[in-house]
Amino acid sequence: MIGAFVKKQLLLLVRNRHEVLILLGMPLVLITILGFALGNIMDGDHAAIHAKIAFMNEGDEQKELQAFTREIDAMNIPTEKKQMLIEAARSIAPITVLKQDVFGDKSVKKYIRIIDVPPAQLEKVRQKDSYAAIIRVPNGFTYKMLQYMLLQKNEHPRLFFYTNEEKAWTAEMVGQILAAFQRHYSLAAALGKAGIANRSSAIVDVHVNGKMETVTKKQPIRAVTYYTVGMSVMFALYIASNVGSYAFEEKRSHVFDRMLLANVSRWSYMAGIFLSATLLACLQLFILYGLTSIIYDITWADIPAFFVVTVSLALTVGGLAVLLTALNFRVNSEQVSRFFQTVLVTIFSLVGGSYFPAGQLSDFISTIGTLTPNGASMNAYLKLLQGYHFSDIAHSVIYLSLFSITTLLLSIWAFPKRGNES
Amino acid sequence: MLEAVELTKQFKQMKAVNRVNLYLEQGEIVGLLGPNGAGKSTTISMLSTLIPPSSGDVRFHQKSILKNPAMLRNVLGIVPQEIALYSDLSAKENLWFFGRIHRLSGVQLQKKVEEILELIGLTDRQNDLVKHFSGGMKRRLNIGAALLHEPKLLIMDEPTVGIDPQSRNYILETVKRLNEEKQMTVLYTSHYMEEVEFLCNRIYIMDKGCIIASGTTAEIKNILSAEHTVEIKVEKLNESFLHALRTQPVVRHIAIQDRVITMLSPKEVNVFRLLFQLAEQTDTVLTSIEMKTPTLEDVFLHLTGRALRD
Repeated sequence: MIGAFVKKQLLLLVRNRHEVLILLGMPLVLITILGFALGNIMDGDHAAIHAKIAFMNEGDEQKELQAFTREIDAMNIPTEKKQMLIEAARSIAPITVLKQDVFGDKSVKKYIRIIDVPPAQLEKVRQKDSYAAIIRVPNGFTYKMLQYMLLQKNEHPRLFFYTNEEKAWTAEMVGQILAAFQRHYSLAAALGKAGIANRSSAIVDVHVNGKMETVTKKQPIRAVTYYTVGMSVMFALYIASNVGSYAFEEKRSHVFDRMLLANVSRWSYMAGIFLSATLLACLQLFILYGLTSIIYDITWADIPAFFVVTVSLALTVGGLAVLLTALNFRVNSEQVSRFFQTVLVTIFSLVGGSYFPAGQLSDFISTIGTLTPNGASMNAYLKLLQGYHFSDIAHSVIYLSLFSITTLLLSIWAFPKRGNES
Repeated sequence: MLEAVELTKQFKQMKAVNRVNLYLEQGEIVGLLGPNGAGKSTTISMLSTLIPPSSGDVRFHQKSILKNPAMLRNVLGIVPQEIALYSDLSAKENLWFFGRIHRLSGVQLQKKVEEILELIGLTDRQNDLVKHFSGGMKRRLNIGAALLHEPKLLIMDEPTVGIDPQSRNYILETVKRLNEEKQMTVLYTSHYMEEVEFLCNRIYIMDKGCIIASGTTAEIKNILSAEHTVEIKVEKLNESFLHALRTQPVVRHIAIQDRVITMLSPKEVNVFRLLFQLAEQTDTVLTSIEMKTPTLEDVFLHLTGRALRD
């Protein structure tokens, strides 16, 4: 009989084009808009993010500049050329360029704050979640860079970027800054080179090499990937309110009376609602992730883990659908479903991070966010996309399962015992 | 077969049903008549175990079903006043679903669905979505959904509300056929007297939560054996004529619709002479006067002082 409930629910949903459009079309549209248009805005001028970047300079640019000047002085070249090289070195001192010209730029400064941190605190800072990235400048970087650029000595030195993969936006942002720095630096060097070229042909080429890695050496998340997960988990919640509303319509139109008179127990009815919503959520998520894998090339390396997270989220949606049905029946109104759809899903999405990584605002919001079903599943999905193992997301899966069980228990309590139910 | 004993339902301050006693014998069609708000639907909901009574009892074959409703539900089919169907499913899909919840399956379910579609005359439209049906077709399917599990007792709550005369006749004929061919017991509520007169062996008349009269159609009509029903048509309604009528001790229960005045008066009174006199005194032009055989509608007027569809 429960199969009949599931079949009926599927048919009702498929026949309702408006609902299908909302549950499948809308998230795809939003993924596209947010992933590209808004994603770029958030990475750019209108970001709502204020990222903190730890800057660790293991060397001393002034001393290294002085060492380079002494090396030039000691060289057997004309004084005029020496002077030009020293001036060029001063004008393209890489740490000054990075800190003042790149991160000191007005447009960047609005969103990114550079905090100088002693190198000894590297490990401590890596543990801290509040930093979006760490820039580590190894000792001798300036000296080696100037040697490489102006004297063509040594290999080009590297500085290190560590990004916090928990703050997905900044993974991209830091990458962009690195690229901007490279461009800016190349330009400054090219100008210097042009000035020097009149007097010297010693400088051939300059470029900065940066090595980018995440704190835990995991893949950063693209904006479109982030929103694919964010929108999918958010719209999965709409299945719950949708099924709850359908159930109340059954009560309003007295179809539920027919079920009572057919001796359908409330257990069977609730099981039907639970399985229907779970199945619909699974279908919705598989369709959305399937389409985005084709359109946006978002692939899941660990398919079994992906299935487990999806089913866990779908079970949570099933539990919520039964709870909303029970509450709708209890208050004899569809208002509970509507409130969930219009208010709660919005709040869940906001703190859970569906619209933007709200966890970056504060540790408190981050904690609250992971307690929402969408936040917990987003956390699991994003970690899977970053290459984490199942053991790293097991707590999210367990949390979702417990959430589902809790909603089912609450539903049993809330479901009104109507009439002379057998 | 089914009996209501002192059945009462109180909603906060309002007593919707007040100490109702009624019974149904196997194989009969019983009418429950009354205007909107009389308490018919609440009575039906209690009889069909959907809501518990505040006091009183419902007995099925002498056994109370308040504690064990399954006994009655297994043999009960209910046709609610509302269209209790899925409008986004086809007629066949609706019947299939309701058959499944009655634990029918496989060939048995398929045969039953076909049989019901045939009975309600929707075989040709079985794959159309209910939302595209006319009101009459929806009503027929609403009845069909209650018949899938071959109930012994069918409770119909105003099953012909808002449909065309052709569909209404079809439904009435179907109910009659089910009763005659399958000996199905039917409790039929309506505020259409003519339907109840056509279908029912016995009638209960309800008003303001109470049963105000009961008996066979003939018995009920006999309530009016000492009175005429007089239907007067006037060229133009005249307040002074109506006032004069109301002040006559022999005139009772006046109902007015458009330019037609219906009233009751004792058979021994020469009502024609009285009416001509009053018309002359109040300058009223009478276009016709008709003495009618009393109908159930007249009985209701007699019992409550109100027309049934007021």
